[in-house]
Amino acid sequence: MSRPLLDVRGLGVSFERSGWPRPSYLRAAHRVTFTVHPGEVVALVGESGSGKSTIGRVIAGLQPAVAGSVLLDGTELPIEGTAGLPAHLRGRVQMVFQDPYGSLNPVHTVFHHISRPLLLHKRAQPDELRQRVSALLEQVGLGPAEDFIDRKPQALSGGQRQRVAIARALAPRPDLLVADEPTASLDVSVRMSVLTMFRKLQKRRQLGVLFITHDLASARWMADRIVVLYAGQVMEQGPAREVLTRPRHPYTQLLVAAGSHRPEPLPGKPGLPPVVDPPPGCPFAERCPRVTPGCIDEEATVYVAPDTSPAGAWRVRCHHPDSHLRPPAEG
Amino acid sequence: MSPVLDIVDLKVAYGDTEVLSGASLSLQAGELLGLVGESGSGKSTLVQGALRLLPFPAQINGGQVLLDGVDLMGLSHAELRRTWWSRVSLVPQNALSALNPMLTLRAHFDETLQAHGVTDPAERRQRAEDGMRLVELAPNRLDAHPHMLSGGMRQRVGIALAMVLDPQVIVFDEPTTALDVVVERQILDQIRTLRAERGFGAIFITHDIALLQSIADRIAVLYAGQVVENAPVSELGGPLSHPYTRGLLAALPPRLDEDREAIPIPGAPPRAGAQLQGCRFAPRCREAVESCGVRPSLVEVQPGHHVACIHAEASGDSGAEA
Repeated sequence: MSRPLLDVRGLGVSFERSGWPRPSYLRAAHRVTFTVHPGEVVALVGESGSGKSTIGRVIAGLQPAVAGSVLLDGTELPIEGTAGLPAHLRGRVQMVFQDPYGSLNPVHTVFHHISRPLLLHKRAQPDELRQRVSALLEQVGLGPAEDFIDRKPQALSGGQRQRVAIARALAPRPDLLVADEPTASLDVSVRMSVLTMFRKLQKRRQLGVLFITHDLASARWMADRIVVLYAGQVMEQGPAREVLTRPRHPYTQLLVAAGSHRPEPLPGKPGLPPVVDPPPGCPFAERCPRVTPGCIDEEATVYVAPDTSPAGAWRVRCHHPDSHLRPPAEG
Repeated sequence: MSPVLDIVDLKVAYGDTEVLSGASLSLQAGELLGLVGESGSGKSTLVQGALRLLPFPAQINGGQVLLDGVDLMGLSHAELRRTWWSRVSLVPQNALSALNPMLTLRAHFDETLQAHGVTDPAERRQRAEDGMRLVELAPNRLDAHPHMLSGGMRQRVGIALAMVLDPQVIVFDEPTTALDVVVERQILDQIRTLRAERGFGAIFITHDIALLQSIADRIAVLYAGQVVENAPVSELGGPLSHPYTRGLLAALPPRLDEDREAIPIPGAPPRAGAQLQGCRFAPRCREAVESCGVRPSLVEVQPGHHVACIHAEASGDSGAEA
């Protein structure tokens, strides 16, 4: 099996929050382990408070972690400091943010936004800059490039801005793209065309993508594999289509049922992810229809489904695994 | 059957920019009408304009809004204040900004009830508690402040407030857009149950057409300030549907239980106030022909199913409704 492009092992992120009579502790990510292989799209899904954006930001070097390690192509990234990624790695991991109204600078032109990373990462000579920016614009579907290259963000629609943000992220020729809800702020009729373009480019460039989203339908459409988070913990991961068709973890089952718009009652209680002063056991226990006393006191182990390949293994973290799941796997 | 709310040819402009150029919509008693459109299509403007809730610089340049036969456009401000909440109410998108952070939930209920003539404190207390129970919140939370509740609970309070005076019509303006999928589903189930119990008419505004298909009786589709289709939910997306509606449905990522490709609609919606001749969807439409340069009117293609498209005019009963 090839070496993973991104290897996240036991990642932990937490914050201390001032309070009275004593400070509380917010755990955004806990023992998060997953991989992204070259050319693979992995969806990181979860509701608000699941820690999905935090994990993406740690990988892009925008946020320090307190535990675990992140390896990019075998090289360990410095994740515990606040200095961000070292310059030679920065071009290899790029990020697309949710809000293209906030992520582009209103005083700069499209040309400026895309030429900066080309120059900084020495991907273009100054005399060929305009031509290279044009080529990137055409690739993200903003053609003819001359119509867009000298515009400022305010002269672009939301979908066009997000295409510029994608072109900017692609400029340093990264191996890994972290896309944090890239279409959540776009109109429905525009959303799919941006995703289609993105998927095509990803395939052609064999780009590894960590696709962060709360929308299961676009996760299934975009991703090869899916990682389901709840309260900062990976509840289930595996091949996207299979996991979403036959979810094995009670939390994934609840998410899928809620998204289906079918009139059956939901399999699970309402509630919020316990991220502040988290309980010792399974974070989903208090909402879970299958809960037993053991769930509340002890952390669940991770089981592996025997019918999946090691690279795309289907893993479930639950006290009540289906009987055919193979008992304890690592991490 | 006369409608409980009838919006006729409403025109709304912000200064010189016309955002609604004559939109009509009617709601039957007890019906749930879905109003779907992308950002800037004018869906909130249509409903808020009709209820005369739009602040300056929005101005209403024409049209009629009949609530049970009474034209809201002709009411004085005092009469409007009596109508709001008691006969028609609104559940806003973001309950956090709609609730006053300085007041307890009880004070919100008190204020609303008092303004509508409920003078007995014991009765107000009783009705506030009933309101909380109606949306499955514990009455002892009445003394909480808005920031102490989760997003889903705040939205429930918004619904309870909208129902406390038992209006005939409730407008839900994207009530679940800011919520997670599980919470959204719980709120939708709640609205379904309450409607079955109380039988109010409702307009449900959203950009999520798939969500509407699961909850609405009828759906009106808005594009660039015009109603392009108004159809029973079962007929939406069928062969008689507007090309935009069909495009919108095809552009959605396939549901988890569906197996199909998503086909995006090329281009983007026009900006609000763009000067466009003829059909406003024509520049993006795969079925556009030369005669789309003339603005199509809404025609009835089947009983209760209206479409504004040149192709529908050819097949339908032309000029049935302007």
